[in-house]
Amino acid sequence: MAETKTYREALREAMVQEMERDENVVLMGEDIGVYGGTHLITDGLIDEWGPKRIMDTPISENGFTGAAVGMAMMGMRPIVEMMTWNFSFLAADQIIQHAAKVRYFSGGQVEVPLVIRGPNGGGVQLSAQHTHSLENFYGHFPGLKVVAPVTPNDVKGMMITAVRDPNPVIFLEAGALYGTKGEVEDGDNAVPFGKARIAREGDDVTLIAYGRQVNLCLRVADTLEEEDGVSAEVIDLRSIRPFDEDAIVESVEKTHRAVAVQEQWRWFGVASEVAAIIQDRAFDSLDAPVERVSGAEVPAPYARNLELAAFPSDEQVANAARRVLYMEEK
Amino acid sequence: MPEVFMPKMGDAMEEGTLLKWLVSEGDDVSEGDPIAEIETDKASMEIEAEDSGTLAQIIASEGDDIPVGGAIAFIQGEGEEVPERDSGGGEEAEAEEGGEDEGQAQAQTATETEAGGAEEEDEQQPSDGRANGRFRASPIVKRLAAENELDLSKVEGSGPRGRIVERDVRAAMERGGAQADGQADGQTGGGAEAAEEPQEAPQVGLQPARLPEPVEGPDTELVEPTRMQRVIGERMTEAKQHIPHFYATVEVRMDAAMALRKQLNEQLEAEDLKLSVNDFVMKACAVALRSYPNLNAIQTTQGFELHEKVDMAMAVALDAGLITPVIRDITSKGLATISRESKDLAVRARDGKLQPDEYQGGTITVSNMGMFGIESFTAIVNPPQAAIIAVSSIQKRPAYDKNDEVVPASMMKLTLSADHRIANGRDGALYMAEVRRVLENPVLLMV
Amino acid sequence: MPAENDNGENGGVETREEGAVATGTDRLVDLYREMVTVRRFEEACQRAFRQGKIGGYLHVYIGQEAVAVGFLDAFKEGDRVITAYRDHPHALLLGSDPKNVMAELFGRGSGIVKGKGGSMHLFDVERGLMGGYGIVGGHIPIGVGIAYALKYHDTDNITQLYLGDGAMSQGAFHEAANLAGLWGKDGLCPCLFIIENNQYGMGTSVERTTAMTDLAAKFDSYGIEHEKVDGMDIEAVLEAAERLTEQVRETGKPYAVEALTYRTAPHGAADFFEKYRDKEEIEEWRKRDPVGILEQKLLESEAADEEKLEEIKNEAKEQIDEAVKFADESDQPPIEELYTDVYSGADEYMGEE
Repeated sequence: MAETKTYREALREAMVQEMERDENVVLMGEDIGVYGGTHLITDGLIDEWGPKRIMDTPISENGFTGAAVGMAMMGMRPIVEMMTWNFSFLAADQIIQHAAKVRYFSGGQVEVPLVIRGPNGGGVQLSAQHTHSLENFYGHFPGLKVVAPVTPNDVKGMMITAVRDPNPVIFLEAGALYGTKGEVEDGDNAVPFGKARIAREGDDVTLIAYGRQVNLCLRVADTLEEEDGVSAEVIDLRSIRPFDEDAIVESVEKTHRAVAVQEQWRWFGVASEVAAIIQDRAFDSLDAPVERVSGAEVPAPYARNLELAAFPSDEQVANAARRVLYMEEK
Repeated sequence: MPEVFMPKMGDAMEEGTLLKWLVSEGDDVSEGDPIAEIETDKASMEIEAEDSGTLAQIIASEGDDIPVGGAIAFIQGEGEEVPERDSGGGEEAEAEEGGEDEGQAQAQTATETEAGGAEEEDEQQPSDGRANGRFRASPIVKRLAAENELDLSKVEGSGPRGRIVERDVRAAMERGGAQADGQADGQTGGGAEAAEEPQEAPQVGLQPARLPEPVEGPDTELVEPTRMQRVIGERMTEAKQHIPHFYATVEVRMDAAMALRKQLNEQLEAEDLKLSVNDFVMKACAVALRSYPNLNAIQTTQGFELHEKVDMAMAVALDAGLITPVIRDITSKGLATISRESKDLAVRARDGKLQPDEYQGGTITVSNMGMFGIESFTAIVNPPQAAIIAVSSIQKRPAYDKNDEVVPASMMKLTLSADHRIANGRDGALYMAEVRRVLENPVLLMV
Repeated sequence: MPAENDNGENGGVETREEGAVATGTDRLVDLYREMVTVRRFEEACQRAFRQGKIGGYLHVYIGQEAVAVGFLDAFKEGDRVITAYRDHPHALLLGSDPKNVMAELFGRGSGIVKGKGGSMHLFDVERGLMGGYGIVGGHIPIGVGIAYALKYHDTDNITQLYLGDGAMSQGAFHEAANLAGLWGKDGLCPCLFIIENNQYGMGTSVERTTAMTDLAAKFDSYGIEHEKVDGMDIEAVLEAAERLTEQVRETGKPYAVEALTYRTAPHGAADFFEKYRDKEEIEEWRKRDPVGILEQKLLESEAADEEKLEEIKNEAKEQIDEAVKFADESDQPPIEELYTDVYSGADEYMGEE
């Protein structure tokens, strides 16, 4: 059974279901309780669950993330909210130096079943300090798992998987998509990590993206079909670490051409990794080099037109696809 | 004329629903009065009038979804007219789109500088993808070629810098013109032609000879050429088809050279070295090139290139075919060095142990069939070289000395084959005469 | 758990049996044994470090023994201990076998964290030691979270959270202390902060790192009560430990105790115990060094004589010598261990290429 829900509703549903299932699950974050959450995801939950399960924290990302690490080491399963992922840099020491590594340097004596979640990515004029897409940043570190669900069904299913995973999970929500709607399965629809989603099947070129750029690629696929007679396959990576190499390789072996799209900057980004994997494992299937379409090499600007120009546009992605098809750009 | 429009009430909000009007058309409103209730996906709230006046026109109806910035009503001030509108949302949406286009145009410029740079680069390169005999082809093309035994030299590349891409190969396969063992196809421009060479007109009326099917009887055997034989065959065919050969023969009196050879070999016996006739011939051919450099030339994508340095290739017959190891800068080397090198190269050639840089890149070739007792023969020029000298066997014959007396003489014929595009008959003849002069006055080999 | 460890039955630092009625003097003799063993261990580490057998960093507890020995004497089963990287005594005193601790320092597979952590990352979770951390101050929020969890799960246990004076300049400390005070208001944070103030943060004296050198008083800002104790005097430490652990246990409110110590024996090539010292030197030492101070007490109260002291020292020496020998003879970890423990659960080997 499935119902149409918003991304926000689906996310909330997942957390509530897990809280019902396991009393060790607690939510922590700034203004998530009494205020109802700045994105209204946790609105009303404190009335139902009380301050023991819905913990409002002071503004101290490093402190409460570290405390959550300690709690997780003791068998609790905290879901920590970063009000936006841009604030996670303050907690980076706890995430990278502690959560990711303590299992390893304790010789396996502890585990850290921690979920850190929050809105990620830009596109809503929040300007430079509030606009980052951190898939490649956190995806870099062994010991962390990193996911970036795009559809409401995925955000619910992957949150369920995240809570149940005994490892620290970096849960990057597409902040610009909180209001989008989609079919969401009822009950336990756990979505496994490490598997990409084929958002659209096609034969001529593969468009690979994560976050809200997946929807951009779907639009571009429609355009390419209508205007250029091109059949594009769109892959929603959705799981950054672990990463689904096979899905990409299989697709390129079929289409022979790939364009990787990311909101974040080009250098050392996820798209670079995609390109490297393709040339490593699908070299003999390639008809053209893998193109990367990335954000402009600038901190995110405020003005609407500048911000649009700072991120990949439909046109850029379509033309990248045309280039790998050796067709004329428009 | 103040419009009332759908406000942005949240950073991800893109549209709102007009739930309920709290005033009616014609009502007076003051700044700050609540005039409507709207709903977003997060919450519902009231919006207030930002101006005072009369609510002149309601544009949005209850239940409508209006994009952020879309007009929902007009408040008319003193003496103002309500402008005519068809659909309030239309213009706003257009304005939005305009903004988007602008943004995209700027994005375009941002990436164009990158792409533009690359394209500029492309334009500067010659468009022929076959640089130096190598093809630019995408990996899938190479794979398809291998799988289907295609000859990529017959496929025109439509990608950047002449890269052969998948659709080129697919098209060629459909036309059937790209088979490696196929006959010459006049339509596709085959071979490592110079970029300046005009496209050859299709050979109208020339049908290739129709070959019979193999008999496959008990006394027949279908020959499987080795790869080397196949390549040599292709090269030779190409050379015969495209190079306008001309030939010039001289007969050389080798007595003086033979005497010098004997003398030198007596000296060199201690070093376990034995000069051969071919060593003398090769050196003589190299020395003579000083006066006739046209014959030491290489055909390139941009025309013939003369080389001062003589890298002399020597033909070595193998069971599997033929190979031509190269003695680099032979003019600067003495007979002993030439002898040593040529022997070493020949041995390793027969053992299949030559490195590519040892058999590639010669500027002229000497082919010696003297050991087979051949009186004379002509060789095929080895592209991209311009000339080749065929060396035949030494035959003892009667000849006239300067007193017109008959004397026995050791005579050897040398035949030049050369490309008439770079050298004409006179150049070839004069060159061969010079070679003879050097061999008949072998002391000239020392300078 | 380390493979070779036999739960410290025959190898751990000897402690009083639980429930045994010990007289004051017996207890002190036992504690003396503990302090000597810890001191012996740390000196052996220094020697091994100079010999190149221990790589990376080495942080020894010499001069601070009374603090760990005293507070950990008040440790109850189920409690948790967390500290930074000066963590050898905490492992030994909680019962880890010195053999396995030394093996860890030598980077052997028989080390208590399989050779994967080294000196700064000693864990013995079964015995209550939650690490061993290399980032100054980084462990403090974690310790506060551990305390919170103890209460969340409705236990009677507390967390002993050790930190140095240097850590109190880190933001992590302040954020964590604020959280502890906040949660402590509802009795939800049974955390005892034990500040090992040896008055120098690495090479910089406390005066040069803060205008407010009364470290305990800094806890006022977070609503946490505090006091100071003489960290050189085992009896003072014992008294504070018993009282304060009980208090934290009962109230669920955090508390801070600043234990003042200072560097004692000079950093010489020889260990104090090894080299023959003259009487004057020994007298001085017995006034300033915690082990020496306790020796003086035992001699004065006649709980032990010089011979007994000697005997205890020799037994400790033997035990630690064995530990070094064990570590020397152990193998490095098998190369497959490179890829284990990156993740927990089914993805344990995810790191393998």
